[in-house]
Amino acid sequence: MSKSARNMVEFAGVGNTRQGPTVLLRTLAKSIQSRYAGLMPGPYHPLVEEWKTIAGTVEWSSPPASEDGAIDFNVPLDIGETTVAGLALRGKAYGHLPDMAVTFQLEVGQDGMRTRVPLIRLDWKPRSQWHQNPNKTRISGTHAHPFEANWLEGEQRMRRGNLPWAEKVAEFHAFSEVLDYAKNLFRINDIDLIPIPEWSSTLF
Amino acid sequence: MATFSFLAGNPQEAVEAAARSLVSVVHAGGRSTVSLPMVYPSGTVAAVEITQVGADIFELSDCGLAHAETEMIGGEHLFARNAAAVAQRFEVSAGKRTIYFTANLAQLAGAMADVAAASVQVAHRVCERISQRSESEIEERLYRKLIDVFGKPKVEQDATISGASAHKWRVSALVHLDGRQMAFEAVSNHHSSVYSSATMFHDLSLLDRKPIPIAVVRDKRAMGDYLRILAQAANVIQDDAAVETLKGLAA
Repeated sequence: MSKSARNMVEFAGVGNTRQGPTVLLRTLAKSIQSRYAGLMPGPYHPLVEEWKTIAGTVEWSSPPASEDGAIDFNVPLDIGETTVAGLALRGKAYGHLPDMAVTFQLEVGQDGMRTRVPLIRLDWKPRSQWHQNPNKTRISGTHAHPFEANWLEGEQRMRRGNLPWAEKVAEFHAFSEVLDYAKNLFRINDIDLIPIPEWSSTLF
Repeated sequence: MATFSFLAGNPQEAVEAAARSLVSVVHAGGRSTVSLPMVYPSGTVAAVEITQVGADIFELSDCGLAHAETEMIGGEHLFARNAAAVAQRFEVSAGKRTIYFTANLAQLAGAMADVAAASVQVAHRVCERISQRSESEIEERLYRKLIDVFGKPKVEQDATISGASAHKWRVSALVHLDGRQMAFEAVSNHHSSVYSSATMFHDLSLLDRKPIPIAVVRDKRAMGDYLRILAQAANVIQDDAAVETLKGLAA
């Protein structure tokens, strides 16, 4: 068993008796020196703040889904030597849409549930031309859904919906440029391990 | 960002420009993508992709945007059932990952609107369902624990209790002690769950023989301000509370 897998099992064991990821988050929250110093770190801040690495290998699904051509991956993440239970980077693209409609999302699972909490998302040239923020302003094209804009510090919770607040970011012309930007956005040191999707310009 | 500040001096033109921007069309790769003024839970604006497949035949798809929304929050397992129900209401079709419709020219505009509306509604429904599902998971765990602590004869699952208003409230569980009751209600981290539970606990608190009110949540820290709203009317515990905590509430 690899070191990462061993650590995952150990944290899964914690989760069997209490809320595994939650306990871990609280531990991490106490240990980090974050840019939120002086504020009470919320349950997700350590996962966002800490620099992470990809645990294992990343492979886009193949072949594309027959109905909409989607391809994706979901890979766990390490903080230090620990593969953190439920913490993952998700990627989505479309096999027939080269150099567009790519989404990356940092997310964390919820104890004992199939659902997950999105923490940060990046949409490169999304299929929908527009994004509308809760304050009714609209942005077009490539945008990021930063954690800070979707975390309500005063209420200590995420905004309702699905990371509804987004900010415009520069247009990228190549997949490698997206990864360069995503590295700092998600704080994943080795994000360049994500391979370029196998695109073809025809559907099915 | 879409701004029309250069039109500020001419309100009518500004309004017209803003209204026109609500619907836009992009043509690329033999497909047309139409943006419509409807918004998914993520803030993504609805987009319908249209491909002409015959002289008077157009295939419309929601680009899989509703499915993508559910996927991002871990609700993709709820897509199929909700998509089928919503699609039926809008008289469009639902696949495993898309909302779609095949239209002729006369139907094209209406079909665009209905595919978009159905798709957005599916995403919002799944978002709501996920919130409700967390309540039922909390209830299951709670019920097992209450039986362990108080014994099955004293625990009534999914019970009804009347408040001071005479309204009959449904609670996750009632524990019947000697001469007293404990009212447990599972509450998810969602405004509708919090507000309806708080209203119920306030109504119960006005009874002469009021039950011990206990709201059960998954994670107090994740509740934010909702915790304060609940705590005004009830004791709040997490669903992993220790046996001693439950016994202490009964004392």
